[in-house]
Amino acid sequence: MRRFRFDFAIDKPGRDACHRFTAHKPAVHGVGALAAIALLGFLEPLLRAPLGAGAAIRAIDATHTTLAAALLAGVLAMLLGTAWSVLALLLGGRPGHGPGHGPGRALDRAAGWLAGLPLALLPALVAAALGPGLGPDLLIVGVALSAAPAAAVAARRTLRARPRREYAMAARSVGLTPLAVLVRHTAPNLAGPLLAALWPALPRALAVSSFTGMLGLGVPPGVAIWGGQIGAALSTPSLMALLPPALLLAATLAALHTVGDGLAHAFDADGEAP
Amino acid sequence: MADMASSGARPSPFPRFARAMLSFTLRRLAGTLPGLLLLAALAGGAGLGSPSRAAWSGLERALAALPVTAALVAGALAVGLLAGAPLGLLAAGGPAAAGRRGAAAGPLVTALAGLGPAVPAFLAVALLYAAHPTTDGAAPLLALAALAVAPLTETARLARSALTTASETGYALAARGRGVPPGAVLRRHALPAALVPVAGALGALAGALAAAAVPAEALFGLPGAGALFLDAARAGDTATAAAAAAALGGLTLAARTLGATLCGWLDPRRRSG
Repeated sequence: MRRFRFDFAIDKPGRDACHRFTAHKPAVHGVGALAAIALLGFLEPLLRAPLGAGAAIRAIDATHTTLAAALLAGVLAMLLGTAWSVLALLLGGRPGHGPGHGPGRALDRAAGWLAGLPLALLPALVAAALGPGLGPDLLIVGVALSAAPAAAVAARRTLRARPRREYAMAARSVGLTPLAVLVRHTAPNLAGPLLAALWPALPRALAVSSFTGMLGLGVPPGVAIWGGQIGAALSTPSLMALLPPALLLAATLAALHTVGDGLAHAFDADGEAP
Repeated sequence: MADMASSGARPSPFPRFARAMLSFTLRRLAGTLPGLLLLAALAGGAGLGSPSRAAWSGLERALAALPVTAALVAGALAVGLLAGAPLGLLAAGGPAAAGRRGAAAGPLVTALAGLGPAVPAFLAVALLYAAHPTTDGAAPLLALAALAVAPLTETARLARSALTTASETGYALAARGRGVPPGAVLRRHALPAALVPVAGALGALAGALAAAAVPAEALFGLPGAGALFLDAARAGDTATAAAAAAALGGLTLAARTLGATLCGWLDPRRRSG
């Protein structure tokens, strides 16, 4: 008996997405690279003996702090962006004027306008306003705010497309309440494509936090991140001191982008079969 | 008019096209003005805590330094677009794809496409400065070369995927089915459609370059709005830093307007929006 690509009796959308993700070789390599970079931080005491106390060991030592700050800021940006888009969707259009006008559309336009600005300067501006006593939590919030508009634009596309899917329309036509449709159908089908659409917030947060650290602004004294080490190497300037944190940053950004491509391939955000 | 009708001569479509483009461009410019006014208001609002003279002088200094940054960003965009777009188009296909140029361009563009996300513009500036730290006459060229890496990689990637898609659209296939030569299909149908995403990316690229211009100007000793922003931020001068950031934001808005205008020129469907 010929087996179709997706057998509704056996396959589940999540399992099918996993198959598509693992079939995307660059994404699998990206996951491996991210795991290796995260593991480097744990191996730092073992690597200290062969590498000495040079720039390489300092860069490895800063791995967990950098990744943790980027992860927190990126997740916060995803949440802010999703909340922004959900609010715009709920506000909708002006009564009697259709979806093209009204507060929801104004929120969407504002997100698009803000996303085009050089918001990478926002954390540095906040640091300038609040002075050198800025804590790491405010820096993370500043980085998240700089990445949130782009996340809102990405979430908007996904949220506006999904509710019009046939399964939501069919569920409503048989009498399910909007809340039941949301909980049982829309939300489970939205989670994967939304993650794929919002994933670029993570590499953006890492890039913005490293950029701010490189400028020497907003990073508390004694906190080692790759951007701060790049900035310190530039003050000398020393290419050998710059290379370890720069290479780790480039490798992490490349890995995050390939994982994002894999997620987009797996969940196929535009809804068509790959 | 009667003579033209009786003689069968067709009126030139150029005046209608020129009028449509002028109207579209003016509409886009008018749409940008509220954003520029808002940025100016934000810059002014950030200086509320400072003496009013200090807030105004910060804005004046930012506007005076903006042409240096604009020249740097425009130069980097031009170099990146002029180098990256042909590379991506060569790699995508068309009549040259079967030749040596197309065959060599494909792996190169693939490598550039991987390099782009891994090396953001500020990191390219840092690497180039660390390799060649200088503030002499070559500094502007080095800063421009460092900033051009990001638009080059992004443009090559966009052009390749856009031309691949455009070559397989219904209208391109229909033209080939009618016997139009492949070169003419590429030139008249696929190429304008392929350049639309490249033009549309101008705004986003300008935003990234405006931010990367801050370390570029500071490191290479260029007196632009980016260097002014960094000096003001380090000194705690919020008014001047906000004014410089607003100036960089205005530059980005101008680039986005230019990109949208080019998109409207290349794709008539966008002129009605």
